[in-house]
Amino acid sequence: MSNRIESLLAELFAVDCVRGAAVVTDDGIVVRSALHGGYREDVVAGLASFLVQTTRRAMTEDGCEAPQLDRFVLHATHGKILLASVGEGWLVAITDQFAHLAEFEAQFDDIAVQIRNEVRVGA
Amino acid sequence: MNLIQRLKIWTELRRLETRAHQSPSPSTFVDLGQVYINLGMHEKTLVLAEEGLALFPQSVELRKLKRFAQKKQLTERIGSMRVRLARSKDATLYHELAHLHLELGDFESVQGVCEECIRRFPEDAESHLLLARANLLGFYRDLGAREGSAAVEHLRAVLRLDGDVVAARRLLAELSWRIGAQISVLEHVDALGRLGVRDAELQAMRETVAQSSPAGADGDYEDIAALLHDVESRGRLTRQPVSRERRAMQDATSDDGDELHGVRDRLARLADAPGVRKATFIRGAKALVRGEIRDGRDPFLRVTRVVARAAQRAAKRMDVGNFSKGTVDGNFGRICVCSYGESIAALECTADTDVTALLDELQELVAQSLVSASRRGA
Repeated sequence: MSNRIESLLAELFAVDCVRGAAVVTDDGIVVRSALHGGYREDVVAGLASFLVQTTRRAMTEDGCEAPQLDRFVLHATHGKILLASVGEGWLVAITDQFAHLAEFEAQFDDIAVQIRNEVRVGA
Repeated sequence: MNLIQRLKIWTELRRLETRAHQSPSPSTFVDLGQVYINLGMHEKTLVLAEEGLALFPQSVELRKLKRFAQKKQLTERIGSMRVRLARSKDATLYHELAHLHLELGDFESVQGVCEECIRRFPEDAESHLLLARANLLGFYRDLGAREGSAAVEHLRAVLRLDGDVVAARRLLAELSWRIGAQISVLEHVDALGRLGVRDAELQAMRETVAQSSPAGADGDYEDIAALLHDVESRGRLTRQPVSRERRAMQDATSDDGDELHGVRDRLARLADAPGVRKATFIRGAKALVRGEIRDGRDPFLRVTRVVARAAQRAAKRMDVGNFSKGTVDGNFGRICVCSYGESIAALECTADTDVTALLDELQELVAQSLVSASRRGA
């Protein structure tokens, strides 16, 4: 399973605009990652987990019963961050500011689906 | 501290860092800050407190932690500044030291340092200016005539040494305005004009004073000390700061009366767009709501704030700059958030809504609010 995830991450990482990609668990543990030198995998995993958990907690505390989060897309001044749920964890991709989301999102979603299937098979 | 004690502390530190990272809350941040303080890592404490406040801006404990870290940092800097001053008596070092004491709120020390500087450098205007600032802080806080008079004396001393010090003129103009010394306001605003300093506040002061004493005031006498005593005995200043008076006047004359004017229409249009259930615009404590939102306490507002803050933190730490806009998809539909500074606009839509155009509209809305806010501030 892990080899397959690695190769899917490598495929994502090979896209021009991608600075890094990782699969992380809900509680911020790195499953596999392919990141440029500047990134630390534990930081990326921790922040992805923080974003998901904080949003989920806010929704639960405010009365939304069992909120199920599927996807985050964040635009920032120097890049974009995409997160897609892959069952027990999250696929994270960090891109530069030139990424064309319309094109990239389809590829990202496709890889997220494949990873989700892998995780299911693995489980 | 022996090696084993050190190791224990570092293990505890690592545990608390992980805890603050994985389940952020005011208490986890404060616990970690306490360990940083014990280890003398005041800069790290300050960074941690600021990070915590970005997530939990209402937390009293985190504010206390930040204040404490700032105080410790300033005290350290004061210590090293005093060592440098002991080696060489330089006026700039005295000023820096007095600035640090002023920041710390230690007015007695400001006085001591500035007086020593004046003894050594009698022509030093900056020390008088610092003393005036310290006295003004005390005067505006307690409304004591003695401190007000001392501030005026020091500001006049600055102007005797150098008549072109803009800061001293401006402080005198503001003080005169607040205590109702009309002639003095005109004198200092005109002097600032001659120095090439003109802005909306000075203009407003001049116009208001000229309207209330149209005959002019040449040759008239104004007893500043008596006006300061009046303020002390009344227990309140004669006028509000000029910026606040201007805003009150603008509010009274504007059609809408609040700075969210113009944002409402755009938000209402967004709320009517196909697929949009809820729409909100938040700035600081103010919020506008449209759609299926009950009131300002609707959970969607809190979720919006939390998502914007968490996204901002994640974007910064992942080195992609400032968060500007984003979407969250789930079984609740789609949430679109756009944020700049303390302005946040957000929508909740159905899952099948195409949000590309809506996100651009949200960005326009936030930009419009910033433009109108800056116009009102000008």
